[in-house]
Amino acid sequence: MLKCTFCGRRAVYNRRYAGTLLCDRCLIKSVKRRFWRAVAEHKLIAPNEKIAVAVSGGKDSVVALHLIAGYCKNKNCEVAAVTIDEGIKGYRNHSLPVARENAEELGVEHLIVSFKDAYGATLDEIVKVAKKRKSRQHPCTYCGVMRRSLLNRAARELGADKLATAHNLDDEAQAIMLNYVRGDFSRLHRLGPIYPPREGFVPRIKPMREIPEKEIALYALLKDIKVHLAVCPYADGIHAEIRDFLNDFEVKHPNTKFMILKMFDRMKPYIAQTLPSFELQKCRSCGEPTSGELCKACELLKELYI
Amino acid sequence: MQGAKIADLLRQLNYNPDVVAVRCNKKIVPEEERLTNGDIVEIIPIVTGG
Repeated sequence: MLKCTFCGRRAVYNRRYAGTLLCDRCLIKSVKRRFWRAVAEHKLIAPNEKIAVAVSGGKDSVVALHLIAGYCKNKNCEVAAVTIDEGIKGYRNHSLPVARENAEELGVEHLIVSFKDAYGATLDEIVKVAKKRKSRQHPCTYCGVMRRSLLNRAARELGADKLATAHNLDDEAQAIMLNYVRGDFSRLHRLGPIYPPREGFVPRIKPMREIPEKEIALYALLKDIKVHLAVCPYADGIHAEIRDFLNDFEVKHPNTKFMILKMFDRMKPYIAQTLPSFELQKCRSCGEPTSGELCKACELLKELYI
Repeated sequence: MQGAKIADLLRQLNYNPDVVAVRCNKKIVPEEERLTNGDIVEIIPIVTGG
């Protein structure tokens, strides 16, 4: 039996990038500590604020909700959960009840917003139309753009001061690499622990970005938190390729994901200096903030005549 | 696979250890744990979402 490097109890996890073995207690403590440290270091949550948490029902967002609810109880803050029902048959209809159950268990206000209500079509329907019209956009483009827009709208309607998302270390390292590969400088510079306030946008915070995906999953399993463990049926293409590449690389060269994140964080201030600032205005179709006449969500829908 | 590590089993099954959690006889274990005859191993995929 392998033992915990710190306390000698039975180990449950080999933290290869640090060369340590952890037991259940030490792993749970470490995940919590990293969350609290990120909140403190980047000043993500101020006392008496209201935090809207994007909760899909998957392990990352459910664990984020539990950690944020615990933090807010301690700091006299308010928490609300927001779930976007994109309308992905066989996937979101299974995770949504899990999100609801966790919000209820924690006694947290829960707002569910659907693509169907907001845009008149589910993601499944949008993808079908896009295919018919031979659109070159990947389903993740429609989903990501529209989900972000609805999350912002919902957080604003809830009167939230911040919108927390559960992006973990793996997500962040993948996003950094994806933007490198695509040469997308402006998206690259938006990554980070906090996306600062701009008119119409609720500031987005990522308190989990320094916690590896596997440690979040183990936290949920060890604490017996109910989560939905499934992969979105639309998840493929370049996102999945970068994810697999980074996971293979991490096995051969432990600490790769942390190094990608740390290097990016050091470069970020210099990247920001090179980008021109732009004015925001209201989308003439939906009123959401945008740099052009139409926001990206309305632009995508217009292309499909939805 | 008496005496082999769970990591060896994962490799044989083509699983990356970063994308799964492993229970051996209902307990979560690190992939460096060694197997003995009769062990019941459960591989839980943990990479989710989009």
